[in-house]
Amino acid sequence: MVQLTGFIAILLIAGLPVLVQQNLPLVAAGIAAGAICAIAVLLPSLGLAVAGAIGALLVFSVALLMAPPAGALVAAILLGIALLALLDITHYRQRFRGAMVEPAVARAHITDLALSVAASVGAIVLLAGIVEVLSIGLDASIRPIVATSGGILVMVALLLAVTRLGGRRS
Amino acid sequence: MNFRPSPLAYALAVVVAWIVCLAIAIDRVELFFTAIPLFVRILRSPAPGQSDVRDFSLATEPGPRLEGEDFVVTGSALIAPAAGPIEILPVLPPLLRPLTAQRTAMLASQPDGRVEWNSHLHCLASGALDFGVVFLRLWDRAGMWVADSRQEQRIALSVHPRAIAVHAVPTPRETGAPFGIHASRKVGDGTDFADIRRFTPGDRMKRINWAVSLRTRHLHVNQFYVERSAEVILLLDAFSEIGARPESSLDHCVRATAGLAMAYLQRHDRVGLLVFGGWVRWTKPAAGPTQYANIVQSLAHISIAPSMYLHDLSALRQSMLPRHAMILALTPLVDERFARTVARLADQGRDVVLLAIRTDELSEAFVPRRANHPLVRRLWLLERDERLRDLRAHGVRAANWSPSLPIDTALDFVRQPIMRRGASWYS
Repeated sequence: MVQLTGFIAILLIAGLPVLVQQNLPLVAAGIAAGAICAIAVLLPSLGLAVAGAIGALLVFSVALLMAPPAGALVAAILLGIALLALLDITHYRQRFRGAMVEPAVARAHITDLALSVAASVGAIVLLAGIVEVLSIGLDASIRPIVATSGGILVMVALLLAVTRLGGRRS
Repeated sequence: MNFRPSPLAYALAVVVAWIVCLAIAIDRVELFFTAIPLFVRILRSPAPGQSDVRDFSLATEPGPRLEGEDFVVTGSALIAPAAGPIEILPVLPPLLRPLTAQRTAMLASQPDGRVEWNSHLHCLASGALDFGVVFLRLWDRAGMWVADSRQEQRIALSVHPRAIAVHAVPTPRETGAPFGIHASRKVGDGTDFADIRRFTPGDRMKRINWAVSLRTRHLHVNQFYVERSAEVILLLDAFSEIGARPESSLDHCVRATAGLAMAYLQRHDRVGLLVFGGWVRWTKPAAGPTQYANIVQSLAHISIAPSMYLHDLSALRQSMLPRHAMILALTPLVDERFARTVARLADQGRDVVLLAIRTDELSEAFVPRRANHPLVRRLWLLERDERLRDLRAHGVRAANWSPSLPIDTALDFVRQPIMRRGASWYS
């Protein structure tokens, strides 16, 4: 199951830029990025997986630049899920290499990864809904204020998280 | 135990940072959505609180083990609170090998925090093993946070050597107490024919040699050598070791020593053990099955620790190295001090047998390519043969033993004692 998840993630990483923009150099670059990710999973090496993920992001960015302004949202979300699966599976294989793993451990890990993906989809839907509501209901002059408030809230949340972690450490 | 971010947390952070930078750089909002799954994964894994490992224990069945045997070490610990899977990383001595290919185990945490595991281990060679360190690595459910803990509960395990089969042993020159099977110089009740003499009153009828009596017209009786037991001191060279365990020269010598001890004890001889490596480990000569247990126990604790403390074994007490005892030395014949000691013992008129294990076969895999040149090996063997010739000149019964062959092939060369000059053996 773990290997299958990794395989699907690599396929998505290699194929998603092509979904955004059909271009031969992009196909080659996507395959190259996918190959790096495949090697990273097989070795397994988290460092190489990060390099592959960044490569895939660069290819996807180039595809976005060449593509029309809208219509790549689903591909972007799928790429995010694929990158998460790639890094997670590589790390899983790296830390459990040469270990006798109880089936319950693998099961729990895959379940947790699936829950994260589900939560991500939920968060994206929620975010898209909020954006939709705000774009319809809000006056154009208020939108920057709302955006700034959101940014401040994120910063405060991050500060709180860091302070809580620091307090726990000490 | 404090949790720290795992490499996965850093990897996700790096990729998220790249996504945000790229989104700003190319001015495309879709890329922000790429970051959301990764961001959610980070947010879903807050740092777990402190965990404690309590009631750590390691246990195995009591009693010594035999070389090549398998056994189980059972471990348990109470981890509270357990956030996710627990990785068990036992630290094993080189002479213990896990039976499975996996050296570590990843266990799911139980609701009560109790973790139990079994390590199936294989004893590669004899020795005194001391182990018991286990590293416990605690992960959170998502693998984003990790904490390590070192736990220890010492287990001292004695692994006895496996005795190799010895069918015929070297015959001692001197015999001692009755009830053995070695023919002594005295005539009396025994099974080995010695001579024929005239009948004297009191001789047993069944000893009359009728053929000789009829021919000579006088009664003659057969004489037999009395069978006695002998005292054997097994002398083991602990100055040097060639090759890698469990197939090193010391391992082969230890197994051969155990085999020889068993063979002599089965013949009702008194057997003692002297391990000489500059210092001396002594097992007092005695007979019986208990003595075999004592000898293998001593052999299990042998290690190479050369010292300059003692140069000459002949300076030892008479009870440690009796003059009438046969000394059977096992050595890789590498250290000059051991060869000198053996020669000196032979010069004192002692009955010395030496088995020199061929180290060229054992070292083949470990010496550099240039040193493995046939010419180098030949020179080495010539030097070794010269040393053996020198020992034979001192009156030592010396033979080469290749560990790939049965020990009996080497013992064939040293089975019979060397006649003393000017004295007949069965006089």
